[in-house]
Amino acid sequence: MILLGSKLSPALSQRVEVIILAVVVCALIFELIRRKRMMERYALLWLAAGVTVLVLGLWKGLLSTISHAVGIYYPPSVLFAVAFLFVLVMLVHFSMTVSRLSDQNTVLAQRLALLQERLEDEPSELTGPDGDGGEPPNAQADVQDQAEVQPTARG
Amino acid sequence: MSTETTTNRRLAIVPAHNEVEAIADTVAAIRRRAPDFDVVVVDDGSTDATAERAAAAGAAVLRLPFNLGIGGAMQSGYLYALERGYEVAVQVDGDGQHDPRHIHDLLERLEGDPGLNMVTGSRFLVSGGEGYRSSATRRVGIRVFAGVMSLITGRRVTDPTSGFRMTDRRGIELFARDYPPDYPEVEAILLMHAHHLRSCEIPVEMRPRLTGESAISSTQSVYYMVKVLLAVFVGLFRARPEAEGEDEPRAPAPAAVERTR
Repeated sequence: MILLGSKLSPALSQRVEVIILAVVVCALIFELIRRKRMMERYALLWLAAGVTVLVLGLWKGLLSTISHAVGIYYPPSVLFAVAFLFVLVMLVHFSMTVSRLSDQNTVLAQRLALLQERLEDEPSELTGPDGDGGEPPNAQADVQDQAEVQPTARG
Repeated sequence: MSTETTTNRRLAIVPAHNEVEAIADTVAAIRRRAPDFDVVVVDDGSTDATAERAAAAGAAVLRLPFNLGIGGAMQSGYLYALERGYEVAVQVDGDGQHDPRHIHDLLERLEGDPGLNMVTGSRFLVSGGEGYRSSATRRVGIRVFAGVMSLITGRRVTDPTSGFRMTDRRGIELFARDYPPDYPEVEAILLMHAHHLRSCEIPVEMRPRLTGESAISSTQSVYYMVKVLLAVFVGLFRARPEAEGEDEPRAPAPAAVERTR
């Protein structure tokens, strides 16, 4: 910031800072996807935000053009409004995701409890394979097992 | 059900989401056309009687407690294949699009070439044109992916979104460990390529789906296209495994991280 400001005019250095910020955000998201810390479906919104900021930084007159078009006379306000909206969308998105995940977590726990109960109930039947599997000789028999024993999944 | 052969080494994985109308026919057709294949239906959180119909038709059924999407469903199938030691796994969609008669064409090709790890049935290699109709957006998408994947893998890919594909044990091991979450077919090609596994295509005819709705509506196609292109692009920058790494965990990411996808 200080480093750039010393050489460039304030307006230009601000733009450079914005561009650097946007590039850093995009690079960070990219790296998170690459390391599989973030799924693409969640990364897209962040990337969209990064690219938007990048475009605004590169395209000099765009922000004031937009602000005039919407009738806001202080261009940075447009930025704040957009940023606020974006954060709002993100939060709603996360709330939905968290809700879905906790819902699925409940279902998983319930299924696990039912399975465990069945395992403890009929130990003789299930001591053989016990997860390590490996060979399919009884695949055909299992087909019948599952067909008969499995309860209705849903609805 | 006939139980003469109890040691099938081959498995047909049938992902199904609310395919109550078609699933029994699909399972029956596989058992008729490819009796040397066991059938496992992965019921991806259906809200109808898909699982019951599939079980009644003689398939093993994996009931996912909620909808995971096609990627999660298929990976369940590959995990099943891995655990039970199957040597070959073929994906056959539950909606009847994939004609089980072609299973043995795929098998012939796969077994005919020992260096081959995956064979995909392509709609667009059939002589005499398309043989398959789909929306314009989707066709453009397929065209784009075909170009990108051909470029990346250095061989001709005509139908990157086809799910009608057969893999050997190496492919099963790979996909059981790491399979893309949604709309996975395109990324799976890249995954094979990154792991130095070879794949090819053979022509197949596909039928219009019997029932159900496609996982992807036209409006969603654009979103998926962007998403998959991003995934493919990022995938190019992932560290490749050394050369013929059989079962070692992949160097850069521990297994736990891999599974977070």
